[in-house]
Amino acid sequence: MDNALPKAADGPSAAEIQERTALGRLVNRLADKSAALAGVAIVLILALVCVEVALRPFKFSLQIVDEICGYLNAAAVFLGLAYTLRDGGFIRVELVYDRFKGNIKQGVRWLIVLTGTAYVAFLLYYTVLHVLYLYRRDVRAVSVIETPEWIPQSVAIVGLFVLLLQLIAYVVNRMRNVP
Amino acid sequence: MSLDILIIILGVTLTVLLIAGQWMAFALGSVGMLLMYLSKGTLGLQSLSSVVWNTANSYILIAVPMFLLMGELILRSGASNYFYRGVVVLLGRLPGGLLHANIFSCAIFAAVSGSSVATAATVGTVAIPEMLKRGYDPKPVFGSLAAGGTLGILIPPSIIMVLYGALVEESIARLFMAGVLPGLLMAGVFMIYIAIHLMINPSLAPPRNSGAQGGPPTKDILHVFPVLGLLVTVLGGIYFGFTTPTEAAAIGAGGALVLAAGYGGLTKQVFSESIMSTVKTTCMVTLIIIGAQILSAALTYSGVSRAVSEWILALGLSKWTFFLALVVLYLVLGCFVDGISMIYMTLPVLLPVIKAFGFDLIWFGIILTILIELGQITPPVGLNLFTIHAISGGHSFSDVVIGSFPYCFLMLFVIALLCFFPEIALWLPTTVRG
Repeated sequence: MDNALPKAADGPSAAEIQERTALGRLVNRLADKSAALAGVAIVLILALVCVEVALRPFKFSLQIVDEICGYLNAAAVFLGLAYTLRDGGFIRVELVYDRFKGNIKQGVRWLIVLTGTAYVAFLLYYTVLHVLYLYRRDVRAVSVIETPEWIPQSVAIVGLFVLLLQLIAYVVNRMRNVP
Repeated sequence: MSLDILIIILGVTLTVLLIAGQWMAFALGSVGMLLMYLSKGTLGLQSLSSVVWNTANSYILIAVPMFLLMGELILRSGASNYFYRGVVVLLGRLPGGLLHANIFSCAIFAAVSGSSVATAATVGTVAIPEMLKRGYDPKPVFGSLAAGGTLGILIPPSIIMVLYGALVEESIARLFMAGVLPGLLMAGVFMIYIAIHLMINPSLAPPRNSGAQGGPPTKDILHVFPVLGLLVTVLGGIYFGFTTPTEAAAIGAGGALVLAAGYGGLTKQVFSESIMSTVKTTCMVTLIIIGAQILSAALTYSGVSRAVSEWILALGLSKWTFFLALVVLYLVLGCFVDGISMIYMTLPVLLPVIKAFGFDLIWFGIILTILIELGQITPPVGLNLFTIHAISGGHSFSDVVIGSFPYCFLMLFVIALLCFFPEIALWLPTTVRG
């Protein structure tokens, strides 16, 4: 809610610094592409819900809007993660962080990125296990179209994977572009 | 592992990560994961994937990106500036005229945009140069903008309330309605304060008739209606039971699209920037919730939650002593932590106690929202203070703080009123249809 206004850019942006390494370039492409898909998901939610409401006076329902929009919302969230991280969209307690300088700041950045990487790696690992389970057991959604649950949930894997790559890119870049 | 050691590990790791500046979402989630592993082993961790998915795939939370998009479109398309000009004409004649215009437009505007920081910045960029040029003293100007912006979280639609309602499983529609009267009351209290302040010290504002020339023409008053109309449509749909809050949010975003186009501000760039900014904020908010849900699951499974609740209950506090302690806790936390994290960090532990003391959860949601607002303008780290300072045109930070400080007490005053007269919040929800 608090980054609605663009910050004044001084010096190269985080994405530009990242462009200097091969992994960084890859992550930039993946983050931008998946964020664009996240944007499309938001537009689709808007359209679907508005259509559903507009049809209501005619006693007509698409039946699937709640379910599909839930998937789209999840897609928007996971696909936007790496992009949000790179462009400094995640909030933190800045009070102390902003005052760290030199080596201490660098050390704190390593702490942040390494614990963050471990967290995301575990999340990804357990999500993969879960999706494999859903696939093997052929778990279906309780809905009209009985969506196989592994299909929408695979998006979480994609999003978390790109996020993990972004964190690794920080390590490769030696923390130069950590927001 | 014994509970005491778990609680110590929890406290230490969370504090270290937060102070070091770990991103909120990552700090909450990783500490939760650690706690889960220490208490339940890898079996506990396996349950996390469904927590993660169910948080992102939630019908209620779809309201978040839609309300965000509505605000982004209105902010970026320039519809907000027209709105402010309309309010200036509407309220410019009152004593302290433009200060009231600040409160009113911030309140309505923040309600629509859902972001008090963005609101303070938008209205501030137009208002500050204009008002200083006309001879207003800077401190009350800064104060009215910083405080006015916070009203938006209380006046629905409010993203904080969506998140609170989803967590405590209360009706979002009823929460929204419960926020209306306290929000208007608070705006009223702010405006009365400004009027009294200026009566005691008239030198803070230019003489009344001098503002008349050079102001926007009277017909600009019409610009109040589109944004206000959008707000009324969104809330009316919820109030009369035509739409769910999620649907109302989408209609609001659709309406904002029409409004932006109507003002000729809907360029391709505005549209794509609004969408991408919505994506960013949605990701940020949802990942915080995911992290907090992991922490919350860990607190529950490990038994820490129950232990802490029982410990608080065993203290034998009276209902209102406990309430006072809560207010102090949130005031202190609010100085460092953002509102969403604050709610999701504390409620898993405190909710059972709050219920045990018999507080109404809708009423408590309103109080919590006001406390979060208060956190936005309490020094040293109120976000609104920084925003206003950044656009103040070189005035000192202390000017902003001094200007905003009285509003902290006004908010506490409104909280006290709500304690004595809970009906202010609870009456309107009882009349909701649908």
